[in-house]
Amino acid sequence: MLIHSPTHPAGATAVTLRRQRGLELGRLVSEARQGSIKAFDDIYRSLAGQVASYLRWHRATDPDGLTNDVFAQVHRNLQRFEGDEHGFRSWVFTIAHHRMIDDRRRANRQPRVQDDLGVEEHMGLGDVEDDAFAVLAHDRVRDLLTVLSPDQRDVVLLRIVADLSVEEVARMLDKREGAIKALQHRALAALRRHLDRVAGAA
Amino acid sequence: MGDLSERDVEDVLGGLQPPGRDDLAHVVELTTWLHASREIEPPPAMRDDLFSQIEAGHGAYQRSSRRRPAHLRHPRVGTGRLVRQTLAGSGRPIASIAAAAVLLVGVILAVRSGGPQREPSAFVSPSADGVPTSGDDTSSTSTSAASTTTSPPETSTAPEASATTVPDPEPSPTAQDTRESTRSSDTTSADPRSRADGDSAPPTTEEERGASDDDGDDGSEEDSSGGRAQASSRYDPDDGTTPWTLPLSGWAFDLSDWPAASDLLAALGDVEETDDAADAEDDAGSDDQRRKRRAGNGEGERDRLDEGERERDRVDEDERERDRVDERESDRQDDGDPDEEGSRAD
Repeated sequence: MLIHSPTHPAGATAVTLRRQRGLELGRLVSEARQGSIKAFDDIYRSLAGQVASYLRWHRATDPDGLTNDVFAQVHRNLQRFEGDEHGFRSWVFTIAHHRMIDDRRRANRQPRVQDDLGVEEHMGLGDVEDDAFAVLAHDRVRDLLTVLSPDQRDVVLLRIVADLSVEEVARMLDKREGAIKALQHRALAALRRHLDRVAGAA
Repeated sequence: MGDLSERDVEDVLGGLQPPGRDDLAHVVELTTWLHASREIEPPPAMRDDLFSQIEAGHGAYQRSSRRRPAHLRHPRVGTGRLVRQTLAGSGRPIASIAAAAVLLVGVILAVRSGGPQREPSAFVSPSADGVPTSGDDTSSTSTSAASTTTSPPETSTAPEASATTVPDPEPSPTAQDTRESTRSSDTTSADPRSRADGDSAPPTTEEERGASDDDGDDGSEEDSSGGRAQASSRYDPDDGTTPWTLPLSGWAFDLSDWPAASDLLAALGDVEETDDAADAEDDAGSDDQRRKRRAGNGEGERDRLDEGERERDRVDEDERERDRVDERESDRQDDGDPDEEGSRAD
C-alpha cells in the first residue's frame, strides 16, 4: 500500500452522506442569510475544514488564517449570494481559490521565513502510529501533487477536495468544460506515469 | 493517456477503482487519501475578529466605518449644472451672454459686408477726401461728418454746439456719440423728445434724406418709424437721458429678421428694468435700516469706535487751539511790556 488511508469514505454510503450534507447546507445558508449566528457557525464547521485542506494542499503560507479570511468575506457578502447549496459551495471555494492566488503572489514577492508547520497538529488522529503514517502520507501526497502542472493541480484539488463538478470548476477557472476534462485526464495520466516509475525504481 | 476513459477518470477522482484497471491502483490510493484528508481536516479555530463580525450581524455592513474619500464626499457638480445654476440665479448673465453674442454676430456681419453704411466714427466722408460721391452718399456723409473732424460745409451746426446741447448719454459705442451729434445738428432748439427720436436708430438713407429735407420737422420723423416711437416712449424727461437701445434695422444686416435676436434683446431689457427697480428699492431704504444691518453685520461696533476716535481728535484739536491762543496772548504780553521783561531779566 502506497498511502496509508485512515478512512475510506468512498462508496454509496459516502454519496448518500454527501447528498444529505448538501441539503443540510442549503438550509443553513438560508438561515444564515436571515441573520442566524448559529447557522453560520454550523456552515463554518462543515466547510472550514475542507477550505483549510484545500489551502494546505496548495501550500498556502497560513491556511488557517486564510480560511478565516475566506469566511469573513463569505459573511460579508452572504446577503448578496443567490443560489442553492451547490452554488454556495462553489462560491466559498471560489473565494478560497482567489485568496490562495493572492497568497501565492504575496509569497513570491516576499521571502518565506518559515515552512508550513501546522500539518501534524491538524492531521493528528490520536494514535502515534497513525499520526506518523499520516504525516508521511501527507508529505508524500504533497510531493506527488508537485508532479502536476498548476492548472492540473487546481483542477484535481477542486474536483476532489472541494467536491465540485466539472461545470463548477470550469466556471470558477473561467475555462471550457472540455478543457477541464482534458486537464484532469492529463493529471491522472501524469500521476500514473510517475507512480509507475517510482514503483519500478523501488 | 488514451487508455483512460472518461468514466475511469470520474471513478478515480471519486476514490473508486475502475473495474479491471489494477494499473490505476496507486492513483486511486492518492485520490482516496485526498478525499480522506478533506473529511478529517478539522475546522481551524475561529479568530476573534471573525467571531465578533458574525456576532455583529449583517447590519454592521450597512453603515460602513470607512470614510469616504475627500473627492467623493460632496456630490460632483458638473460644469453644465454649474452654469445652469448660475444662470438660474439671475437673468442678467444669460441676458449679457445673449447680448454679447448678438453684438458679436452683428460685428462679424458688419465686417463681412464692409461695415454699416453709416458708421460715422470709423467712416471718413469721401467728399472730405476729395472723392466725388453720389447724391445719396452725400446726404449720408453730411451727417456722419458732423462728429468727425471733416465737417462738411453744408452742416448747419458746429460740432462744439452739438457737444453742448446733447445730454450725456449712457456709455455707448462711439457710433452713438456720433448719432447724438448728428441729432443735435438737426435740431438744436428742439425739445428733448424730438432729440431722443433720432437716438433710437441710425436713420436709414431715406430717413436721413427726409430729415435733411424737412429740417426740424420732428413730428413726421416720429411717425415714420416704429422703432423711434418705442425709443421716445422710453425717454426719461426728468434727467434728460435716453436709454440706449440696439437698433434692429438700419444696418447692412437686419437683426429684425432674426427672431432670436429680438427675443434676447427683449429679455435684456426686462432684466435691466428689474435690476433698476431693485436698485431703487435699495436706495429707498432708510438710514435706520442700514444702521441695523450694519449692527447685524458687526459694523455698528466699528462705527462706535470710529466715533470715539473722532471725539478724541476733537478734544486734541481743542487743546491744541487753546495752546495756540495762550501762546499768542503770551507773545502779545511780551511785546506790549518790554520793561517788565527787562526788569525780570535784571
